[in-house]
Amino acid sequence: MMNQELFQIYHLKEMSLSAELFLSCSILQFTFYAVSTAYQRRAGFIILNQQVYYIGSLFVILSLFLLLNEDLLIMNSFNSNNFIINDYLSFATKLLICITSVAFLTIINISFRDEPIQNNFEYVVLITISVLGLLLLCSANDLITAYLAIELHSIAFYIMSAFKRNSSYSIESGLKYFIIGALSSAFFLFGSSIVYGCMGSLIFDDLRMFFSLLSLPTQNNLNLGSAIIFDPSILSCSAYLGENFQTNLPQPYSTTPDNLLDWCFFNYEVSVLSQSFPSSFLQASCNEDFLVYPIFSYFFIDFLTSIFILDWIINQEFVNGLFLIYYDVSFIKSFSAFEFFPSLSNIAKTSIESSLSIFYQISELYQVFNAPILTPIDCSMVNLDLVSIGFFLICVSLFIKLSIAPFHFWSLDVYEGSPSTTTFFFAVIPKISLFVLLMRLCYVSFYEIFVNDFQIYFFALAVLSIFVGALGGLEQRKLKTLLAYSSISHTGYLLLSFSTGNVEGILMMFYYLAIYMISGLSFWAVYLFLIQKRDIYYNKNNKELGDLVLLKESNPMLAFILAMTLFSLAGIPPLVGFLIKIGVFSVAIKSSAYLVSVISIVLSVISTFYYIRLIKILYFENTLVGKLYVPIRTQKALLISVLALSLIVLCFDPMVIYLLFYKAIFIAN
Amino acid sequence: MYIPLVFLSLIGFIITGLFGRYIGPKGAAILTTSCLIISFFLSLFAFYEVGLMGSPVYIRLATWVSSEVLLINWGFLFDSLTVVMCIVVTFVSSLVHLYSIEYMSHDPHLPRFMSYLSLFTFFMLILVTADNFIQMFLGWEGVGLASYLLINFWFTRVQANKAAIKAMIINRIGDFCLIIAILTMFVNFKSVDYATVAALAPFFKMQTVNFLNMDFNILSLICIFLFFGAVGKSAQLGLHTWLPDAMEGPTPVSALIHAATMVTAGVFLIARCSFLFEYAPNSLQVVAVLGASTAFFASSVGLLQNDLKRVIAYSTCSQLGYMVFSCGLSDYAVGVFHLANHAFFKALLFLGAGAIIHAVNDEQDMRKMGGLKNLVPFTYSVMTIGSLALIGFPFLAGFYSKDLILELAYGRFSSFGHFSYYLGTFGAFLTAFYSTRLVCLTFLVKPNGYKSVIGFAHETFSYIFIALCLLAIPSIFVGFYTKDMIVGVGSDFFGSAIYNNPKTLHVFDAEFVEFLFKILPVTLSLCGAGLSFFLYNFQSSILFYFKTSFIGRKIYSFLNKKWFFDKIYNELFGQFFFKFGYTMSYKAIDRGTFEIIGPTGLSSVALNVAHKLHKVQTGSLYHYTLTILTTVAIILSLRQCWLIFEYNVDYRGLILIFISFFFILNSKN
Repeated sequence: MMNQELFQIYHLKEMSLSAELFLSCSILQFTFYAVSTAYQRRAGFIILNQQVYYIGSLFVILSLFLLLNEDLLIMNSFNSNNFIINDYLSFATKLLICITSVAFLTIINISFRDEPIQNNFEYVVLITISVLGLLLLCSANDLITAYLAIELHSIAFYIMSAFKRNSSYSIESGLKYFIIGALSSAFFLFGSSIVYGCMGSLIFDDLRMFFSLLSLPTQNNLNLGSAIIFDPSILSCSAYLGENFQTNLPQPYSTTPDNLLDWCFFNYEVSVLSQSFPSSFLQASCNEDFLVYPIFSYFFIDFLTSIFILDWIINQEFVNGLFLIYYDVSFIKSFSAFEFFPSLSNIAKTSIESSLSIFYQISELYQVFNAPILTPIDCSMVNLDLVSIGFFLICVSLFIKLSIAPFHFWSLDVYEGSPSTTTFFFAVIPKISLFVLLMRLCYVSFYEIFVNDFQIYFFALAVLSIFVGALGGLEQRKLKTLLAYSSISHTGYLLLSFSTGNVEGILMMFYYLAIYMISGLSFWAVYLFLIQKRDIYYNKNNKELGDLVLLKESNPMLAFILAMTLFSLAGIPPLVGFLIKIGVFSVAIKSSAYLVSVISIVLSVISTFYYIRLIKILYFENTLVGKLYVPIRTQKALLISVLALSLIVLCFDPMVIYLLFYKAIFIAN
Repeated sequence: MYIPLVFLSLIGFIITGLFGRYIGPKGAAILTTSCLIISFFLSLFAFYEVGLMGSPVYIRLATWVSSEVLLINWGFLFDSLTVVMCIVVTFVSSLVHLYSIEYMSHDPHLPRFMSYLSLFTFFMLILVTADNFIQMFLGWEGVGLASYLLINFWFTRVQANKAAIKAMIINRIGDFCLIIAILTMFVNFKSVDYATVAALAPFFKMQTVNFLNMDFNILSLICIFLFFGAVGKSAQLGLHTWLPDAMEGPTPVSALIHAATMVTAGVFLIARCSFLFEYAPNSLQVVAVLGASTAFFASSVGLLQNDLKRVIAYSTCSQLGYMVFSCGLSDYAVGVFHLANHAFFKALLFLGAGAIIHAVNDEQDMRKMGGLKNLVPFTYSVMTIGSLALIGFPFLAGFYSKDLILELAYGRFSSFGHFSYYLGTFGAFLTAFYSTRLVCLTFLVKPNGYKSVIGFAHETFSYIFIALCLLAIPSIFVGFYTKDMIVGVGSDFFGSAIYNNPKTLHVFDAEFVEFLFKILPVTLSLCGAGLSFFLYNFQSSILFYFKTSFIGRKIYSFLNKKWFFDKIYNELFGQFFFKFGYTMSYKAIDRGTFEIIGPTGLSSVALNVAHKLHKVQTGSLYHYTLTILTTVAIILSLRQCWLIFEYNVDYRGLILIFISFFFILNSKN
């Protein structure tokens, strides 16, 4: 009896951060298990090599399952004091992180089987810890939370890069990473403290609300909220609003909840399928605010912003009813947004209706104290310059982590010195959550500052990264350093599309990231699976370009897959790399960054040089002396071919990933 | 029906050109000639339907260019003007094909020759049947190409190469002007269709356009440039030098391209654009003056040429001058009428000359001929017919058109009309003189050639005979039978194909010309012919004394050297552009600037930068940290400075800096 009740109360779906909680608990338990087993003299120091990887993969898969099971909407109402945000964006990015981590764990597990045996169960623990940190970072809604998450995964990273204890390079790179990480943290904390000092809050929503109130008196059309500016359809809607507001207002007021539900779905479909003009005020308001912000605290803020549009109507008597409907509709709509396909089952409908009642109450509750906050904030009250410096320092700290161009030097050394698997992890996985944080900072909280003051510097840094990535790779002979440069240039493209300051740019950035992660997995899988035929015990980790000369003789399929991955990274048409690159450029051109895009296109041409040189080494060298590699096993072959195939398939059918982020971005904005 | 008319020759070209070695010379000859003959019969039909029955045909085959602003169709417009041209082109072309079978029978590349001839015919038909300027331009360039290929047919001869290149380059000047005209038309009319432009032309009568920082009347500008295009193609004074040199090609080519069809394309163009020229009276005056000058100049030069073909070439040039100035005096129909007549007898003359050259073992110098009357009597008779037709002997073809031109020129009763009339009439005298000189020197005077050559002179009664026969008939009768239909008073044969402004219509004015001025041209012609006959046959000693006198020598060298046009062009323009081309555009721009900005500079700079980036990677943490801190400081200070520099920074300056950066980096090497 008791258990059943408990189960009803703490329904898993309604438990915030269930995946992270599970992961952290299991990490503790896992560490305990591994330590107690491995160092047991009585058992003869059992070597836990393979099973820890299986266990680690299991943890990540289970947390992935929990993630899929989450009910984002309900969790948002019970989140812990706004430290955590559980929106669709965090869901999508977490999903991606978990999937790639599982793939990563599988790849290194398979590749480690051929390696000499050593007891390295700590490695898996560290990986799971860093995955936990990345997951937390994705849903951070507060600079403190973000900082803690960054530190959590960074510490794991430091140890991971210094993991090869007998190699001085590895130790050196770990130390360098640690010191640069400390510098980055210092920047972050300094920036945060400036922001806190000026604005009195570190929560992203609060900051955003602050800015939207700040800019209210100066600009008329800013009532629609800073975040809404991105979407062109909404701008048109706001123009439309002024004319038809009066005539259409009674319509939502008089509808019953049932009709309302249907109506909303109709509207939702319309707004998804074609960005047509809204047919009524109700749809307009939904499009603009509540579809976009499912978090409850957002309701409040957006209500405030939209209340300025409705300035004159507040005094009228039917305002109460309007509020109610306003909330309900937006809630239903945001719920419907979670369904991958906009058709709802009956179960979903009933759950909506049951949850409606809660929100009636909450909305009434908020009505009570909305009046006193309506006063706009005076500009002279705050030193905006200082805030922008703080903002920029936080961004710099993230840039250091992301290895954007002038802050990139550490990454080359760290990539080169760390064990290959660690480099693999650094190169592929952590970027996405840092970009999520950067997006929350730049697009949600500090959008005004970002667009007005820093956009041009962001562009400059992006171009500089592309420049360094393109030219630095020309002289490299080591494969890992080459990949580090390649990663810098790809980060440059990401930042380029990020800096455009509109929804398409962000969308394209996440899309690029996802594709980049897949091709990175594919490339590193090939890299790790290359094991020389002779000298099994002396396997040079840092491969040089010339080592690949005879790959097409010893394993033609692997050579082909490697060439294909390289073509995809370079952006050659029949592969998905072309699609994302052209997407980034077209986004940059659409936002009128002509000079920047021309320069980066030229640099992208230069950067194809080293990818194609690699292909030339693979296929067109007439040497007969070179290194031969052992044939790979079925599991590896399966894994690699799935990854490589996805590069082709995604080019012809990119919709799966695209839609995921399309939805995430639109909801987040 | 109408489409095969145009495309049969293309089929002939493709089959002969691509599979010539499989079907052999005979097959190629049969194929192309039969294609052309069918095409001729089709154009006879078209002439019947369009010309006689008065039902113009307009066919839109497909879309060629369809962008937002520009729509170009593959359209074919058959009106009276077009069908007259079609008849002329296909008739002469098929006879030239026939003639070439025998004339070129000893050449191993007969299929190639036939395919080029067919290609030429195809492009010529495209030129005349096009319904827009772009398609017309395609044909225009195509005939230029075919002309180049055919002049250069014996590509082992240096003279032929030079002549071909000269023809190409001088035509390029005209083509460039034509492009400017078409572009101006497109910019202002937003269309390049004949129909659209014709409909819009009156509305642009008074409008001006800025060209080279000066304001011009739009229509005048367009017409002048169109005319310059025609000047290049029709070898008018100034750009005429290529035509005599083009006689290096095989004689059938001269007959087809450089006498009958291609060179008349300019006249056709002016007649086709009558709807523009009629609204630009100023440019018509330019046309008239230049045409009349050409008529006089070329006939004076033709007077003292010794090369058989060059005499006829200058005569062509002179006759083109007649056509052009008649167009310039708004008598487009008469110009076209003379074009058609001229095509027949000039082709006859050229083919006859070819027969002579064939007979005397490829000797072209008239001074080494003589006395061929009894050896090649048939050729003698057709050459006499041709020459008399050219002179304008009463009731032969040239009489009807040339005298009408001169009569109408006088009937214009304007200073330009009189100017043209007097130059033309004097030119007619000279024409008669040199034509008779040609016949006398070749056939009548005592034999001057080598015995071994003259002794074997004979004529064949094969294809050459047929071709000459078939050309002699229209040379005699075409004027007599078609004058009233085409240019008769009140004839509406051309209908809407040629537009005549009522203000400039002066057919009836010509009826009031004094009898003296009506009879003067023909009298002068007959006098010239008689004088020449007398002098060269019986009193050559007078000529000799005159030639060897002081003034005579000056005049002789002046005329024989073609008024020193070639010398002036070579020394003034040719040398200058040679030097400029080598020192400036090749050494300084191509191998200098572009090389530094382009391939060499780019690759060396890229490698340089790569090397530097490699060196920057010191591995020392101090440097990395310093870079990070410096960048942060620079960006933050730039942000402050931006307020000052914002209005002074020009983005074009960045490009300048970029380029100078290249030079600086390269100068160090």
